[in-house]
Amino acid sequence: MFYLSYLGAEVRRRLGRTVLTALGLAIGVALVVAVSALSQGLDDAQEEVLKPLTGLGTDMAVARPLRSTEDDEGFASGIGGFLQLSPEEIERLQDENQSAIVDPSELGEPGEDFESDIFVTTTQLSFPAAEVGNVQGLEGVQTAAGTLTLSLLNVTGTVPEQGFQGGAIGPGAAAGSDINFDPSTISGIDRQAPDLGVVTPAQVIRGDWFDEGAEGAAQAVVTQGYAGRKGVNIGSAIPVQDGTFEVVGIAEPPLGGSASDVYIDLSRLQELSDRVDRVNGIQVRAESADAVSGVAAAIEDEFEGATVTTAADLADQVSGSLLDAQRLADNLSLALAAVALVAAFLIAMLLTLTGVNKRTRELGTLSALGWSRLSIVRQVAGEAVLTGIVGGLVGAGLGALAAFGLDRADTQLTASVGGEQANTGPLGFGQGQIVSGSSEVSLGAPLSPDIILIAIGLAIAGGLLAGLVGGWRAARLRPVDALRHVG
Amino acid sequence: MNTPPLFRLREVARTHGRGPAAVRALDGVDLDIAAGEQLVITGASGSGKTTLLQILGALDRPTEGTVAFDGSDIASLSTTDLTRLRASDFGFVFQQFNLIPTLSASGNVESGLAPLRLAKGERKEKAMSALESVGLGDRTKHLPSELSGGEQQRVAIARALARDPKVLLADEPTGNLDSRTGREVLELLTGVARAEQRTVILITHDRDIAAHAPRVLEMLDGRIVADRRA
Repeated sequence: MFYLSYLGAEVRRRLGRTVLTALGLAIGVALVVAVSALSQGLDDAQEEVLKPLTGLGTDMAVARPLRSTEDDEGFASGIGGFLQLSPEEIERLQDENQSAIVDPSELGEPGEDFESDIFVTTTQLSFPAAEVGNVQGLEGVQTAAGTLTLSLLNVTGTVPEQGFQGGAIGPGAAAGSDINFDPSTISGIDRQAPDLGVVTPAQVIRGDWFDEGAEGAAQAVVTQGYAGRKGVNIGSAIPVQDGTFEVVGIAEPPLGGSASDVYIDLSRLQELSDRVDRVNGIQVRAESADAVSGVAAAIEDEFEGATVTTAADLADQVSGSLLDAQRLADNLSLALAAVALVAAFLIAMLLTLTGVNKRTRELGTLSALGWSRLSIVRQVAGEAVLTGIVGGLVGAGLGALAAFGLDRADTQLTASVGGEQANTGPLGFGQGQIVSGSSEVSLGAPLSPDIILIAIGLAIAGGLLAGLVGGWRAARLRPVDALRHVG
Repeated sequence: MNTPPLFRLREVARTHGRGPAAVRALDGVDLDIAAGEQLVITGASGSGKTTLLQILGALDRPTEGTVAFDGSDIASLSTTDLTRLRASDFGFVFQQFNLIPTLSASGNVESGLAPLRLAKGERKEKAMSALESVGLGDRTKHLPSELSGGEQQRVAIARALARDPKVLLADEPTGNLDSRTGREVLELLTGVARAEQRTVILITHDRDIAAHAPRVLEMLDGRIVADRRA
């Protein structure tokens, strides 16, 4: 086919013009590839930070937090301040927290040492475990698991002398007395739903997850912070009220996640804390990411007083250079890539049109020789497409090199979550607190074949567009006008 | 019974532009050209020679009158049909050679054959044969920039002849050549055409060439003022 040999000769022998046009397109393509890789790297980095707490982006946490009518005054407003609760719920709350009030006369004779564990419901009201089944039955819910998160007060000291006889003491009265309150948080988890618990096997950094059999009921997983604070390690025994649990795993709670100090079997915690068949949290997994908002709304409709925290809510709490870079990528870099691509298109178009203009007499001669308009358009467009392919391939190579360089630079980004303790309870210590702090994550720039193909496709499309416009302009000229042209 | 002429032009006019700026390049031309005839058109610049050649070669349409070629009125043909007609029946040789600078001598000849959609082998064979007929069998791979002016015009003639056209149209083919080379090129053009009984229409300013032509048209202000036969 003569068309191809002519095309090859044009591209080869007008090398300067071909290289210039291809380079213009290549720069645009390279920017698109590099920025897309960087953007993907930022997405991956964000996912790496958030994934442990967001699962696959389909998880939700349901709780029924207590809301005081006088939040700023905390516990001072008293249980009566929780006006949205029914009388039964207020009574239940009083019962569950009654144990926090210690009668010294029950601890032993004055002067004797004592130690006692007390479970306290703080800000999350418990509810029947049957609600888990109700949530499970909602449309769009894949699975649901109940959890029970409580404050565990380890009270130690010496039974006070007569001054305290007949009185009651609590954490607020401990100062100056010989009684110490050591608070921690404990969560009971459904061992049959390991991936949906408040701590998951993926978060265990040392040791193992719970045994799924009966042995698991006597095992505990503790967080890294708690293990360091208490000198606890794998194999250590933790006494919790009347039970003893063997530490089988050390977990690192994710940034922004909800963490307790100690995790044990849900049934055992319900039993020890006298809350059989009660839970105060439900972990829910939606069937798809698209279903999350619908499921969240349905739960809040069906379950009075419930609040649903989604992965998106948690992601909103993340800040730091990771987020700044992500915003930069979202706003500036993609705009830059788009501008570069448009500029590359325009440059390619301009160079092609200039080239065609210089060849007016040549193309007019072809028309005089009997070349059809379609043949002339095809010829010019073919040359431009070939230039586009070269530009696309060179651009993809340059973009891949840039992405490789960014990848090798191993840039560290910081993701931070503020110290806001949304669930701090009226007793002054947290329960299932949001884990605050910073986390560093490496910024990569992964290349996907799709992006490279799209970028090359764009370059070819740019060449084709430039060629079609240039070719059509040339083909429209009457041969007598084209032959008169001084090029 | 007389053979009908290959070309029959009646009251042909061509006006460029409109209104007061309009220029009447051809003004009521009547002309018959028989098949196989060799015709030279002369005249001063602006006399309408090139316009007449362009209308004869289906490169342009008259604004008035009729142009019959081989019995058909080509003035009313569509742009596509005119293009087909040029591809099948006409060969052009231009003053500026109009070769494609990126193609070799054989590539340039092949460019004239491309619209005929020949098989690659046949196309190359015809190109080679045409180049040999103009004495450039050993210069087929050379680019135009590597050839002299006379050689470039020979390539252009080969490009026109390779298509085996009914009519060969040449617009001052020697205008850019020195007199000796010009004579050689002209002899080649007329010699090949005469041998193949081809119709040749040639524009020239060269009085010597005109003096030896079988038929000479002289133009002035868009009109044929003389039609001499040897």
